[in-house]
Amino acid sequence: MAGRLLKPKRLDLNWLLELASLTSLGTSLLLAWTYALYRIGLSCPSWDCGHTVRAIVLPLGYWGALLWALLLFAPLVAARKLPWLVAPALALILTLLFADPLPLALLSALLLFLFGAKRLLEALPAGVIAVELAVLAGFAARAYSLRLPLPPALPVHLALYCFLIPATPALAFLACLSPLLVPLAPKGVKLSAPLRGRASLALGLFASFLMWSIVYASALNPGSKLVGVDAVTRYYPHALKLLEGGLPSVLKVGYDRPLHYLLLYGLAKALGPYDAVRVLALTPLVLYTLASYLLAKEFWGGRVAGLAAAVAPVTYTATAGLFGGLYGNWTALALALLACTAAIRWLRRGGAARLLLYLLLLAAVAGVHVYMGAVAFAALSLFLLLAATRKGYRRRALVALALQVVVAAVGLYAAELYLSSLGARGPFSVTALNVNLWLKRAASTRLFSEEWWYDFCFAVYRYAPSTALDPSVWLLTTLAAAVLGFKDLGGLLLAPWMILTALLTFTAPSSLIYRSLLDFPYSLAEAVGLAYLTAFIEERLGGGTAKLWAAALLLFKLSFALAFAVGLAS
Amino acid sequence: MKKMKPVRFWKFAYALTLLALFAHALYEYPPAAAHFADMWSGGARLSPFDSRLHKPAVVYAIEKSGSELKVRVLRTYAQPAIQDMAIRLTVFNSDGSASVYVFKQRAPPGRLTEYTVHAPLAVSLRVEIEVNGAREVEERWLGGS
Repeated sequence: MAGRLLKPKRLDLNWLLELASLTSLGTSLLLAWTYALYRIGLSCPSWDCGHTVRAIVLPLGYWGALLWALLLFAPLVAARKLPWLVAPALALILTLLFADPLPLALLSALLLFLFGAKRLLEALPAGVIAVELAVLAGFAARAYSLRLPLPPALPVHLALYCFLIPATPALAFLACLSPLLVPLAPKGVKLSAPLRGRASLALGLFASFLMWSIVYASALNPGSKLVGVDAVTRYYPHALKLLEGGLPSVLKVGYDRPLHYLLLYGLAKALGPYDAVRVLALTPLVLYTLASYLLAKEFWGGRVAGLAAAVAPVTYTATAGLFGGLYGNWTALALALLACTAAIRWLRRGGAARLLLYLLLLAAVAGVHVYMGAVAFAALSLFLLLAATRKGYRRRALVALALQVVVAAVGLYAAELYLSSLGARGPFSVTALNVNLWLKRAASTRLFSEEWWYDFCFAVYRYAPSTALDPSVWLLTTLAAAVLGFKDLGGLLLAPWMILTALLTFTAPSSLIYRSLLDFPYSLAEAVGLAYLTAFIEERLGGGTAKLWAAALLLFKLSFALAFAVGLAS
Repeated sequence: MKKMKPVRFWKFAYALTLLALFAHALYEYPPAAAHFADMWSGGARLSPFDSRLHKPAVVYAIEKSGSELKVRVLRTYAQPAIQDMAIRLTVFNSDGSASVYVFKQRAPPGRLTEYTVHAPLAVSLRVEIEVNGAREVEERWLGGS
């Protein structure tokens, strides 16, 4: 049914009726769900002009009730269940009589039984798509000062995930432990994606520019004030220092991220310090999207790669990265994905140039952000070690591993000598400082105690407010680890990487928990989770329904991320 | 009776162990998360048919507990452009005096804000909300001495 909707032979009345029927049934179900949460009295935290708790309130009114009743008519007419047509009218009368939409909500739920579970699973994503499109139009209107007569769809969007807010830290925690699910991975996992890779890549790049433009080129931020913690407290003052000290000051000021500061220096010279920081925010958004695409393409092919690119600018990495202004970590993560792409090409096809490119990119990761370089080095070492257990990759994996250890040792020693001679901090002292900080915290923490959980919850709810509250990040990541296992080459990368991230997150000081969570490439894991879900639905309900679900999830993620960007810029 | 394959048995045993581990790790999660419950429990509600929901802001709830007076104001989803909101609380006391409190803030759509004032002798309250030039006034009798 849904498949026919997505590929109409010609635009006829039946097709339009079918589309209206699915969308209206889905929307009325979502209204009933929002009403149920409103009755419970749930609210939803978000970031908008600071920390904001939003009420789940349906400003229905009499016209809204009439519209809801009309939404209930459409599926009944399309299904030719004519005797049932009296039900919406009756529900509307009762709703108006009691001034409470309970009858309309009950009728929406009742239609579930009338139409069956399959129809429900087709209608729900159609409803989500309609709601999210209205929400996105609302954000566009707010960001670009457009006057559009839009329904207040934001409470319905919030209702889609706010019931999971009390459990979000637990979901993030389970995602961290997801590598433990690897031994339970099913055999013969199929991945599927609705759009062609390049089309999704174009969408991902568009979303990257959109996120940046909402923050820096919209009516919400007319003075283009700098947005993000590090953008204000680190990059702008350091850009001024770099301009004052010239090129030699790059190493002194940016001792833990010299290559990134070289870029900042170049941008500041060309554009001035203020615009340099603004452009610096765009670099990781675009680079991470491209890098996610290229690596996912190596692992799982073009279609899943397209999903990774579409997810990259709207995942936790992007929201937390923009909030914290963590452009260095984020750029280094993107470069680590590019390094991994080169490593896989070397493993599969050989060629000294590929190996050299891998080593150069890995060194660049450390040059852009020392901490992220250490994480990427450890993750890629584990990946190569695991790849060495595979027959076809053994020799090349061990060669790459040996060379990267040598390059790292020589590079660290040379950097230590050079930086010490300049009077700047060397990598050993930076590492020792961080390790000491970490060890102190690890020694004073009792893992999984109430105090530990308080810190973890604080990091999720308050420290980087609402960036981590998109439950799809954690659910899809967990799903990816559970289905990939170690049979897939991608599983060999993601599971050890997540183990490292979990170790760092669980032992981090409370102020660094959200940054430690940022060390993992969620775009890849989410793309796999989404592709698995799409294939699963395709097998049971058909390709059309699978496409609707994939589109609904992507639009939900886009709305969540844009809501955050709008709140950040306001 | 069918015999369980050894691989299946180990998978089953592993899954049970994992469940036990997760249960142990999550045991102290609920009391820790409860500290943040104010984020997801909005409390009092307005009827979806309340015409005030079409105005930019309304009084959502008023609570008097001990000497504290809590006023929750809802910036509704109407007129979704961000607005500057000014709240003026006038507390009328049983001794005939009145105290005035003024709060100003940016108010995005949907925001629930709680204002707490020390008012041990309060008997009635007037809440004036001004959003973008439009003014709403609500008066409540609080009872008591």
